[in-house]
Amino acid sequence: MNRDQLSELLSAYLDGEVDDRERALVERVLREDASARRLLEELRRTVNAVGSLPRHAAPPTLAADLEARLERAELLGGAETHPVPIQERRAPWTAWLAMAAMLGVVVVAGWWFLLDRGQHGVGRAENKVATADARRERVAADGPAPPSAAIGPAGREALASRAAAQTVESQLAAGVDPAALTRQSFAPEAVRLQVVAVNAAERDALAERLIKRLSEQKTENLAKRGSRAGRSKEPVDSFFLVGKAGVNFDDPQQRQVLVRVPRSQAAQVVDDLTAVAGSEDRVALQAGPIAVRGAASARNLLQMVGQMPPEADAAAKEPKPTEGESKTEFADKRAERAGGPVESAKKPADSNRFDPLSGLMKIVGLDADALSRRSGRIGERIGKTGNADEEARRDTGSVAAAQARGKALDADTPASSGAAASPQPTSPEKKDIAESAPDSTTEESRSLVRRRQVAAEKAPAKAKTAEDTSTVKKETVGAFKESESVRLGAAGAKGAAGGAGETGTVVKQDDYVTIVIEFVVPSTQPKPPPTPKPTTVPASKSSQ
Amino acid sequence: MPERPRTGSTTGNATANAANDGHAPGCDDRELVRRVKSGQTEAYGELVRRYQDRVFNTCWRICGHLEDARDLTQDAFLKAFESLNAFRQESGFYTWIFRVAVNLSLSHRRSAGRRRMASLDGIVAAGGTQAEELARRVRRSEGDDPSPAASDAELQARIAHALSAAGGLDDEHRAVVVLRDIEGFDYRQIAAILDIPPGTVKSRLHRARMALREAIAPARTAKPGGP
Repeated sequence: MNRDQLSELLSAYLDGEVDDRERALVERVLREDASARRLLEELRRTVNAVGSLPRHAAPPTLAADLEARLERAELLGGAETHPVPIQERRAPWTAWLAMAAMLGVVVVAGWWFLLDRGQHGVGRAENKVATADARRERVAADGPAPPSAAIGPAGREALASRAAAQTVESQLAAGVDPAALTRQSFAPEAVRLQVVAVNAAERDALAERLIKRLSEQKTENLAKRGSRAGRSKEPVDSFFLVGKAGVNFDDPQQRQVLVRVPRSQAAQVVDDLTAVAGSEDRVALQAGPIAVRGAASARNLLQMVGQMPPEADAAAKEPKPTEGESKTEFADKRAERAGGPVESAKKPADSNRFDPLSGLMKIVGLDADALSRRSGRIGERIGKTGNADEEARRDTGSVAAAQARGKALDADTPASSGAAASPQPTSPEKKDIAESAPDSTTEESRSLVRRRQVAAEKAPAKAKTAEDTSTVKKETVGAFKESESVRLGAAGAKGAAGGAGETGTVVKQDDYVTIVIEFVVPSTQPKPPPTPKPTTVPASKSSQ
Repeated sequence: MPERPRTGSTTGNATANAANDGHAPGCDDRELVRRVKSGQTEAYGELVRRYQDRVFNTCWRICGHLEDARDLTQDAFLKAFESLNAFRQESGFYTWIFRVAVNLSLSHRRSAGRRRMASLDGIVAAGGTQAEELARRVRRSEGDDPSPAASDAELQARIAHALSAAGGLDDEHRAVVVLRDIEGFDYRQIAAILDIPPGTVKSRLHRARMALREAIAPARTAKPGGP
């Protein structure tokens, strides 16, 4: 044991921070070594001298000053007035800075990617030669290329993926709900209805009530169809897919119910949810980038984004009476489906044409008619364009209908609503095509439709039940329970097979809308506490 | 039996050992922290009362200036209050508040650098006013004050100077000495406060004490009966 080790052991010995073996060793050394005893004494004196240094009591005004700082911060609205979780005390500018940085990374990565794509296009050989020449020149001039220059296409793709991941990370860092990101990935087309619950217990109760209500409706609808089995010519257009609570996403603060209904019944879902929530104000809806609060606004937004057609359009899309079916029987069924008077269906379509501008006006509380009168034909033109777009989107399987938007824009004439508003009977194979066709009316989308159509015609014919089941399952969102989906899908498809088997009429899957109903408990915020009481400081014990 | 240093001071409250968690019957630090988190911020006042003196002294001894220590103590309690929700109580509140205070003091020291010249803080704190200390030294030099107390005062003055900013002791070593020999924390608690292994505490404390021993060598040899 050298001198340093001995002095360290003596220091720890002074503090009683030695084990039995070390203590025995130290005591033996102290018995035998006078210099060790002297060193121990010096260390003890040093320690005692440090420990005997005078102390100061905290300044009497320290607590008062602390209180004043808290009060000032509270008055200024600062975050230091109450305990706040660290993740919530992020300065806004840092979040924006992070997002801007990530955006820059994405732009640069995308630019690299496009450059790389360009090298693989026209003039690729020339580019390669030029690149090789340039590389040789650079190597000759500067030595080996830097590592960044060796990044190939795969590396750039990886960079782009990394940039995309960083974008997501920056969104997470900026406080974006991870569940929302998941939803964006899984179901960008889904409409989200949301009910804010007071606590988890109410959230679960509301979810259970809605599931029960929807299940009863589903059972009732299926029972009605079943009672007419073998003779009903009604197409399948009224069954619900109800997901189990909380199975879709991992957010423990939410309970989701997945509903898939015909567009004509989307408003019914809003009504059901309002009834369950007990108040219109507790319902909110988000469709794409737009979010509104209140059941009435939600209905308007549904109509505006085309997920809920106006009554006239819905009526126009009603199936026509088939041969052998009396008008009375058909009217009875239609009234059951619509859940309202059938007189509205008799209105001419133009009298209640869907107008996204008016829908927006309803949301913001303006009079669309008055505004339209003032703005002359602008509103009408927007209405026509929007209507054509809407019709094209609803009937993407029909190229002719998809071209209606272009006609409306080019000729400023009423869109050929007849082709869009009256869906033609579609074969099961074509139904799949219609379902998966993109919304746009570009040439690319039409070619996709044609390719899918050819592929479907080449494929072996499948049973309608299997077709419907797979179609419905594909359209459910994200991680929707497969068992539930299959079961319900099969039930619906069973009815579809019965109806279609007799009438040859199948409702296009594009006429359905997927609605994600979320029951949310807002994250608990710490209660803003009052300012601490001034703390009293005992009388100063300063040695001065 | 190992010899234990007298970890108290002339003013008393350095017996710490952080067992002060239960000042008020049935109301330990954990309970007070829980109350603050639930919105009863008056409970935080009790926590401030419990630790303000010790935190203030720690800040003072590490940063070396009373005014800075005052601000640092305020900052420490304010910072602890703001981030109380992040405090999971896996360690005691005293450990946490001392960690905050020590880190703030060390950061302050690093940011301030060594711009400040040696002050008379240590001398003043050790023996009273500057005039008294000078008078004492004059008497001692004239042989009028041969008492051991005068020698102890000089020893304290040298220790205070060695611990001050001009003392040449590294911040890390200073912090360990202050926490152990002034505040009386044991090695495990110091390790928790400074977030270092106990073995590092042991070695740093040893080096710091050896440096202080050298710093007070003249006084030590002058003391009657000294080795």
